[in-house]
Amino acid sequence: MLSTLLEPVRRLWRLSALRQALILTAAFLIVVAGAAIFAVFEVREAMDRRVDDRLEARFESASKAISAGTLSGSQDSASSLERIIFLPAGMDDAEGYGEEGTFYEDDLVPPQGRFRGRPREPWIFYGGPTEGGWLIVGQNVGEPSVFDEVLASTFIGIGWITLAVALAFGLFMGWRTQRRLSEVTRVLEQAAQGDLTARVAPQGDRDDLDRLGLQVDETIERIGAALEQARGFSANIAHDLKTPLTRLRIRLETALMAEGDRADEIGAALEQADKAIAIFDAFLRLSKLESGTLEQKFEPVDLADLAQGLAEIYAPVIEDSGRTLKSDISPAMINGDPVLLNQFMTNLIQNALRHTPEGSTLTLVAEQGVFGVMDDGPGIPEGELSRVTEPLYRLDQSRNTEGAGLGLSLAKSIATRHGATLLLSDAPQGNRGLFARMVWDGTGRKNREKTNLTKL
Amino acid sequence: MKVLVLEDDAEIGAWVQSGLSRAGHTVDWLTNGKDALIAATTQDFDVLVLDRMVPELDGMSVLRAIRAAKVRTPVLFLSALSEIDDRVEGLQAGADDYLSKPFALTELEARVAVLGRRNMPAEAPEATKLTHGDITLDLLKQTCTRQGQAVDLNGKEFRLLEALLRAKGRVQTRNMLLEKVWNINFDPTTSVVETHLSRLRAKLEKPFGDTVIRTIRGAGYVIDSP
Repeated sequence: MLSTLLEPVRRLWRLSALRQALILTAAFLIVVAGAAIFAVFEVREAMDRRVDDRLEARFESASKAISAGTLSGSQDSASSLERIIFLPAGMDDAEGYGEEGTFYEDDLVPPQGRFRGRPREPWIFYGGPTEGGWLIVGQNVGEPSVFDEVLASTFIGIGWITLAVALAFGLFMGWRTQRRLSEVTRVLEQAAQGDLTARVAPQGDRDDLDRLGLQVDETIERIGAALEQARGFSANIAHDLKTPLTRLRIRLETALMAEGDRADEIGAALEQADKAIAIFDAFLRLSKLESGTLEQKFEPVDLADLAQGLAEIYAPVIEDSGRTLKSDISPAMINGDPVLLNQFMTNLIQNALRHTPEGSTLTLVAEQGVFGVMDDGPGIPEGELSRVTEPLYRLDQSRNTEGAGLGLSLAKSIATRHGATLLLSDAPQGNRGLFARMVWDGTGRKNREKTNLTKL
Repeated sequence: MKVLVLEDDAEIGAWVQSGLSRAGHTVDWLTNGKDALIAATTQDFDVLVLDRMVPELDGMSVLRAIRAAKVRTPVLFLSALSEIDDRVEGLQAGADDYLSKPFALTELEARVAVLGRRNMPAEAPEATKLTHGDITLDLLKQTCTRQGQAVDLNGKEFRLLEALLRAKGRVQTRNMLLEKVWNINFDPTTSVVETHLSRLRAKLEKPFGDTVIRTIRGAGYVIDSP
């Protein structure tokens, strides 16, 4: 539940430009906060220094006034922000001079020598011995909290502005970059799916992203050209090989129609010719799939419909072979090539029919993210699982069965073509048998944890 | 019917020409795409059979050019490439049917016949019953009787028998039956047709102790005209 809620956030976080904008904004805010702390200390110290200088100057002038006899007692300035206290010698008890100010207490009895202190906010005192007694000057520097508040609110204001500007700017820049990156990603994804017509087509050569786009375009262009060439090759090979095969077939067929007594023999020859042709076709198909020269013809397909159709076609065949057909089907829409998907399933069914004993059960499985065939036959030995999809690879025990060993290779190619993976594993829940199917991401991962799988 | 065949291989071309001629068609056989394009756009044909890989102008280009010139003659497209790639492309370019090489001559003839019929004026209303000897197939009620007894066929078996009866006397290949009865155009590799046919036989022939459907090894199945 939480993970589904967090998913959009995670998706956003995976966008590098957005992430950079956020990180940059955070960095700006840290700088602002640092500046605020630094400013508080600096300003305080500077102000203290100024007060000190003033107090010292006051002290000197008051001291001179006392010497000159113009100042004999304590006095307050008009603003009452400043006090000058003179303690004539011999009067060492401060209590005696308290009527003018409440700040004046025992602890202010001057120690020896000059001193400076702020025993009581918001006053700073500076004092020391002078001619005929003690002189103390004091200044009210105001409430420090007021000052801090002003500073704090200033910096909070600056912080908000920084946040807004940095975020807006960062997001805008990020969005622009991201859009261009996403375009590159989209084009590459399309190319990976086999569509080589898409291009990034940057609007110039302004920066590294444009160059990236140009490179991607050029790469796809070259792949396209190479594929075009490969397509030509395979077309030529097909043509060159199929021409004699066609001649052979027509001759045999014509002979079959004309010949009365040896018809059966000629028919048998034709059957063999057809088998050779079928194997050659399978090779051609496989090479086209593997080389990516097959044009992509994807459309929305319901795997359940496909499986249903195949179950209807194959049910009698499977029954007559002494096996049982079951279906485990639920709707699963995907984008795919129905012809290839049918071929995929056909190959798996074929495979299961060949390698299971009579009395076995075949189950067609079609559900969200899974499409395949499960059987309860002997399965494939552990060590062979990864090898059986190699073209022409066949288990020793099946060497004498029909087929060219292309079925699983083709199935694997078709799975890859659909962005899926062909998985072969023991049947689930500890049953005997083989479960061959294509899985799409997510489901595949889940299953991999559950059973002992070989990814192909 | 007048059929244009574009095929560059001398041997295959000759066989196709003689095969189609034997089936009663007039065949013009050309070996390069340019000539075929000129012929197809200047003369009237009932069916065009175009091979894909031919000199001068390939079959696909000829097909596109013909369609661009608003010539609507039915086209049967032949290709050496396997069906999964070429079929759709050919049909998209405006072909009406597709056959991959190597093909059975019987199938080529059958497809040409079907395409040719497409342009014919409407035939007599289609029969609702097919009969063959003592077998009657009621297409409306979807029932089959033999010697007055009901033969209980399921859907596929019924359509299989129907396809064979409609093509009485003409061999039906495995491919043709797969397309007509199962409507599939991929290679099912297993014995789908054989299985259904043996089931059909068990119901239609076994109780009566004779053979109605003849298997021609390597070619296909046929119900011979009486």
